[in-house]
Amino acid sequence: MSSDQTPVDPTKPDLEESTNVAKAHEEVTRNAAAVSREQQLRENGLEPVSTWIMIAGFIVAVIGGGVLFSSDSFFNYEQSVKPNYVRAQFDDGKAAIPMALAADAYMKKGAALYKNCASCHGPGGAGNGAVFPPLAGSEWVEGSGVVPALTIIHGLNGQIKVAGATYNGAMPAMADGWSDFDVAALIYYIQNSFGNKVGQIYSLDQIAEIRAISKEFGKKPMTASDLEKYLAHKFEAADLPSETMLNLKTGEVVDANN
Amino acid sequence: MASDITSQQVEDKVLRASIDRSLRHPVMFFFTSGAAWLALSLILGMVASAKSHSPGFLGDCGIFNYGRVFSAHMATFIYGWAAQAAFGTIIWLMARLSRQESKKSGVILSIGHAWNFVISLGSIGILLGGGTGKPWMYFPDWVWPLLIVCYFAIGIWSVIAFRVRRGGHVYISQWYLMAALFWFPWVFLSGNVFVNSFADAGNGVMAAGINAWFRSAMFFLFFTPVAIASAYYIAPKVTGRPVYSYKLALLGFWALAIIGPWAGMQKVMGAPIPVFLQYAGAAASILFIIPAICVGVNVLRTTTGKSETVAHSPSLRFTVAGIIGLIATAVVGGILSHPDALKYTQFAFGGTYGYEILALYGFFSMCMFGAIYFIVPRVTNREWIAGGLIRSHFWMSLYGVVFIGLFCGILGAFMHGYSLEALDVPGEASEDRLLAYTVGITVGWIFVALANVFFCFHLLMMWLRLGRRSSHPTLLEHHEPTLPPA
Repeated sequence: MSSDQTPVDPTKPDLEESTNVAKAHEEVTRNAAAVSREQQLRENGLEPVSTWIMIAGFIVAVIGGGVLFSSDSFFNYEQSVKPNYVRAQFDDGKAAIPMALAADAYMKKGAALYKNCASCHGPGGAGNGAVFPPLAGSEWVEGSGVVPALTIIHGLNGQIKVAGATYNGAMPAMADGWSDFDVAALIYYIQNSFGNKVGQIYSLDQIAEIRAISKEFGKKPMTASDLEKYLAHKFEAADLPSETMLNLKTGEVVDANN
Repeated sequence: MASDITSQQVEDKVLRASIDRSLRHPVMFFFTSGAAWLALSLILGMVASAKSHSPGFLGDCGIFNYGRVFSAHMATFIYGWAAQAAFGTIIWLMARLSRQESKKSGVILSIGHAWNFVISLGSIGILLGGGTGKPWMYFPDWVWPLLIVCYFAIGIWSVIAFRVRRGGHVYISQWYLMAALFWFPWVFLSGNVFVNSFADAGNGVMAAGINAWFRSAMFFLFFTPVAIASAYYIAPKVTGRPVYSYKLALLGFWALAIIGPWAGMQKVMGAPIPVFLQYAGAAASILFIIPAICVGVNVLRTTTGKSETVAHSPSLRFTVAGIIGLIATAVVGGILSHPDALKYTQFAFGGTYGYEILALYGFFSMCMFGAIYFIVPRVTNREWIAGGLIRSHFWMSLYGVVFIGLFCGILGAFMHGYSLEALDVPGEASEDRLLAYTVGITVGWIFVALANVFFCFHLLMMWLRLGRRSSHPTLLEHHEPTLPPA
C-alpha cells in the first residue's frame, strides 16, 4: 500500500481487458463496504525536520546528558553506590547537621580519601616492595604533619630513605582542589592508622600555615632534602581540642551551644 | 462515479477484502478475548485499589488479598489484554502492509487459544497464592516458557508475511512491527531467564535491577512500537494525507531503537548495583522524550486541519488521543526518572503504577482501541452497532486515565513521597494524605471498567456478525450520509 502507482501484482493480467470494472467495483462495494471506502496510504511527506523539534530534542538531550554524566564513572562495575552519602538527620523538625567528634570525623573522611593512596602504598599502608615506600612506621609520616601534607600537596621526586630502605621514584601531586579539611583529615588518618600513633588533631589554622609554606615551593615537587627541614616543625596555631564536634560533611566546627 | 474507478483500484480492494477475510477469526479472537481480559483486569484493579484503602473489603478471603489481586490485575492487563491486542494488530497490519493473505490463520487461532488457556491458569495460580510477586513476571514460574513458545508460534507468521511481501517498498509501520516482533523475544527471554533462573545463583539485587529493566523494555521495545505502527497506519489512512515527514519518521524510529534498551534500572536507584546502570537508565528514560516528540509531531501534523475527521472517526480519535498519551507518558516518565524526583517517588505508593497506567492505557491501549475500531468493521464486514457506546468508551477512557494515572497515581505519589520525607511528623500523616488518591483510583476504575465491559460486549456482537450491514461507517458525530470516496 505504498504511494506508487505500479500494479499490485505485475504478473497478473490487467483486469481492464476482461472485467467490467464498474460492475466489479459495485460488487466489492456491496460485499466489502469498509474496504472499498479505504484510502491509499501515502508516506511521502517531504517536510523537513523543523527547527523547533531540533531545539526541543537538544534541550532533552542536555537534561538527559546532565543526568548521565552525574554518575561519574562509566562502565565501572566496581562502583555500586556513591560513597560518603550521609542522610540528613532530623531533630525537632530541623534538619540536624550530621556531626562527630573531631578525631572520628577526620578518621572517617581520611579513610575515604585514602582510597587515592591505596593503589601504591597499599590498603594497609605497607607500601609495595622496593617501588613504593611504606607509610606504616615511616619516620617521615610520624614526624610533624607538615611533611606528609607537603608531600601530598606537591608530590615527591628523587631518592628518599624510608624505614631503612632507599626508594627512588616519583609521586605525583595528589591534592589538587582539595579543601583544608580534606588535607587535615588525610594526614590525621595516615598518622593514626597502620600502627602509627601520632594523635595530633590538626586545626584548620594549622593547615593554613602549611599552605603558606607550600606557597614557597610553587608547583614544584618536593625532595627528601626539602622535607627534612620541616621534620621538627612546630605550628604557631593550636591543635584542635579532642572534644570539638565537627560537621561530617564540611569539617566546620559545630558550636555545641547553637 | 464508477467511471473513474480503475481496474487497479478494484483489484486493490479485492485483495484487501481477501486479506481481511483470511484473518477474521484470529484477529477477532485476539481482540475479543483481549477486551474480556481488560474488563476483568480493571475489575481486579478496582478490588486491589479498594483493598489498599479499606483492607476489610471482601473480608479475610485469601484470594482477594491485596498482593494477589494487584498481581492478577497487572498480569491480566499486560498479558491478557495488551499482548493480545498487540498480536491482533500485528498480524492484521503486517498482512495488509505486506499484501499477503494469511494461510495459517487456523494455526494462529489455535495458538491464541493456548495463550489464553495459559494466562487463565496463571491468573488462577496468582489468586491461589502461587504468584512470584515480581513486577510484570507475576505468573507462577512455569508460565513464562509456555508464553514464549506461544509467542513464537504466533509471531513467526508475520515475519514470514514480511519476508514474502509483495512490492519491495517497506512502510513505516512495518519497521516498527518488525522491530517489535524481534525485540519481544529478546526482552522476554533475557528478562525471565536472568530473573527466574540465574537470580538464585547470582546477585539478588541485580535480579531486581533486571526486573526493572524488563518492565521498561517490555513497554519501550514491544508495546510502544506496536502502538506507533498502528498510529502511523491509521492517521494517513483515515485522513487520506501523506505522513507529514518521512525523515522525522526515520529519526523517531532509530532514536527509539538506540535509547529504548538503556532505560529501566533507574527504578532501583541507590541499590548496590553498578551506579552507572542506574544513571544510564534515568538518562534514557529522559531521552525517550525525543522519539516521542518525533512520532507525536509526525502523526499529529498528519492530521492537522482535519479536525472534523478526528472528531468523526472513532479510530482516528482514539489514535490521536493515544499519541498525545505517548507524549504525556514520555514527559512524565522523564520527570519521574530524574534522580531528584526519585527521592520522592521511588518508595511512594502509586508513582510506578500511575506511570504504567498512563503508558499502558493512556498511550498503548488508546492506540489499540483506535486500531480495533478500524480493523473490526473490515474483518467482519459489518459496521459498529452503536456510536454512543464508542463515544462513552472514549470519554470514560480519556477522563479515567487522566484521573487515575496522572492525578491519583503520579500526583498522589509526589504527595505521599513528600510526606514520607518529612521525618518530623508521624508516619500516619503520609497515609492520611494518600487516602484521597487511593479512593480516587477505586472510583476511577469503576467507570473505566464499566466502559470496557460494554466495549467487550460490543466486540462480541461484532464477532457474531450482528453489526450493521451498511456501506456507511459508524461515525461519532451526527452527519448527513455521504457517498464513500472513490
